[in-house]
Amino acid sequence: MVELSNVSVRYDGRNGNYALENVNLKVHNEKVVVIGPNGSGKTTLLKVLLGLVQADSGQASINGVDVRTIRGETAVSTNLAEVYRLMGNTVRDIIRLYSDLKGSDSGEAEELVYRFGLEATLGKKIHQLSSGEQKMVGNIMSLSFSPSIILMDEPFDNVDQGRRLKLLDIIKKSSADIIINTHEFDLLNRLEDWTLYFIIEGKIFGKFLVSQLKNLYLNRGEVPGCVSVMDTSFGKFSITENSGAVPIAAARNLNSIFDEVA
Amino acid sequence: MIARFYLKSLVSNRALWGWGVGFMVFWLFMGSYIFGFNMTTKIESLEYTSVWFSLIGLISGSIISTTVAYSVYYANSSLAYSFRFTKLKPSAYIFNLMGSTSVVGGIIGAFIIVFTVILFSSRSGYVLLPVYPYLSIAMFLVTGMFMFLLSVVLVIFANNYTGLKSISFIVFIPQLLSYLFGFSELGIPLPSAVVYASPFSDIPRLLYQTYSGNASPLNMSNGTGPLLNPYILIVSLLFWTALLFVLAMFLVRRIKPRSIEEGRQV
Repeated sequence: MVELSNVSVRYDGRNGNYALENVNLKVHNEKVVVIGPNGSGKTTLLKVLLGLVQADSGQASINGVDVRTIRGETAVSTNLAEVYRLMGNTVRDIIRLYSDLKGSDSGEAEELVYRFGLEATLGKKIHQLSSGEQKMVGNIMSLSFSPSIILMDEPFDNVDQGRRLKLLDIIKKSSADIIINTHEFDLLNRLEDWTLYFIIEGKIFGKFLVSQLKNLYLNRGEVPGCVSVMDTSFGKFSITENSGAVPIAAARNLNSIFDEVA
Repeated sequence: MIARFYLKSLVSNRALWGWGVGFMVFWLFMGSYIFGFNMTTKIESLEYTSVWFSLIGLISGSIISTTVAYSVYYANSSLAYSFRFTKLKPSAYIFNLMGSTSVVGGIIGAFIIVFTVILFSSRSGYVLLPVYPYLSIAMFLVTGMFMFLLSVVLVIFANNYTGLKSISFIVFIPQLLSYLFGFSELGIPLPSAVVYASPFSDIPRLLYQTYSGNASPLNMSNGTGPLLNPYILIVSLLFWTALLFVLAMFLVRRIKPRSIEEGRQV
C-alpha cells in the first residue's frame, strides 16, 4: 500500500513555490495513472514516495512504514534511471547487480531485454545509451525482480510505438500495484480499468476511472454540478461529466487542453 | 557480489589507468632519465629510487581517490534508493567497496613497482628491486582503503551539508594534499611531529621503507636527519583509516539524494 498524507514540497525551501501542495493519495490493490502537464509535480510525487525528495510537511509511507525510515523493502521498484547509477557498469552488470541486491534472479530482466530487442545495450554503459534506451532499461528494471509496488515516471517517453505497445501489455498483466505518471493521453484508452488522477501545479485532483475519461469535459471557471475544481495560477477550471466546454479525451495531452480552454 | 562489480567498474575505468598508471609511469621516467640521476653506488641508487617510488605511490593512490569520489557522488540517489528498497546495507556498501578499492590499489601498486624497477634499473645499471615487495603491495592495499574512505567522507559530507558547486574541487582534495605533502618534503623538511601525524606523510615514508629496506630519514630529499619509527607511522596511518571508517559509516547512513546536475552548474 502506498500512501501520501497532506504532503507538501516546496522548491528552494520554505519560501519557494509548491512542487506538491497538500497531496493526499492512497493506492492499495489498484493501478493508477497520474496525468498532468510538464512541471506539474508528477516526478516529485514519485520521488517523495521513493525517499529521493523529502516532504516539507505531511507523510509518505509504503506498506505503513514512513519512507524516511524504510529499509530493505525489496518489493518496491521504479524506472527512474538515477537510482541505477550505483556504479559505472554495463547494462548486463547493472541487471545482475540489482537482481542480487533485490534477492532475485536476473533471468526475467534479461528476458525482457531480449523481448524488447535491446540486447545490443547489454554490453554498454548507461551513459552510452540513447534516451529511449535508457528509459526502456529503467522500465525493465522496474518490472523485474518480483515487485509488488511499481512507480513509473513517464514510461513511454522517447519509446517507439512498437515497444510502447509491448510495454503496455506487460504493465497490464502485472499483478503489482502500479502508479504511472504521464503527460500523454494516447495510450490511456488501453488502461480503462485503471484509476485516474489529474495533477496540476502540485495539486492532485480525482479520483476518476480512466474509462470515465471519454465523458469528462474541461471548463473555464467553476461550473455548477462539476465533479472537480482546479484552482491554478492561470485561472480556475472545472471538470464536468457528459457535457462541457472541451472533451478531455479529445486532447493529445494536458498542456494543449488548457491552452484550448483558456 | 557488489564488491566484484565495483572492482570490475574500477578496473574498466580508462581514466584511472591513464592517470593512475600511465601518468605515473611518465613521472617515473622523468625521475629516472630526465631529472638529475647522478648516483654512483647501488645503495645511493636504491635510496633515490625509493624516494621516487614513495611519492609516485602516494600520488597514484590519490588518483584512485578522485575516481572513487566521482563514483560515490554520481551514486548519491542510487544509494538513498538502494538502502531503502534493496538488501544493500550501508556497512556492506562501505566494506565491499573498500575491499575493491584496496585490491585496485594493490594492482596499480604492482604496476608501479614493475615500472620503477625497469626504469630506474635501466638508468642506473643496477638491478634495483624493492627489498620487501610484498610489504610494498600491502602498503598499496592499505593506501587503497585509506583513499577510499577519505573520498567517501569528503564527497558525502559535501553532498549532505554543502552546495554541490564545489564538488569538482572536493574530489581533488586528496590529490592536492598528496602533491602538497609529497613535494614539500622534497623541498622543505617537515617537523617529525607533522610527518608522523599526517597520513600523507605516513604513506610515502612507509613505501620508502618497503622499497629501500631502511627506515625513512626525516629529510628525505638529502637523506639526513633522524630515522623515523615505522611503528609510529603504521599506528598513525591505521588511526586515520579507522577514524575515516567511522565517519564514512556515519555519513553514508545519512546520504541525501541530490541532483548531480547541481554539481555541473558553473
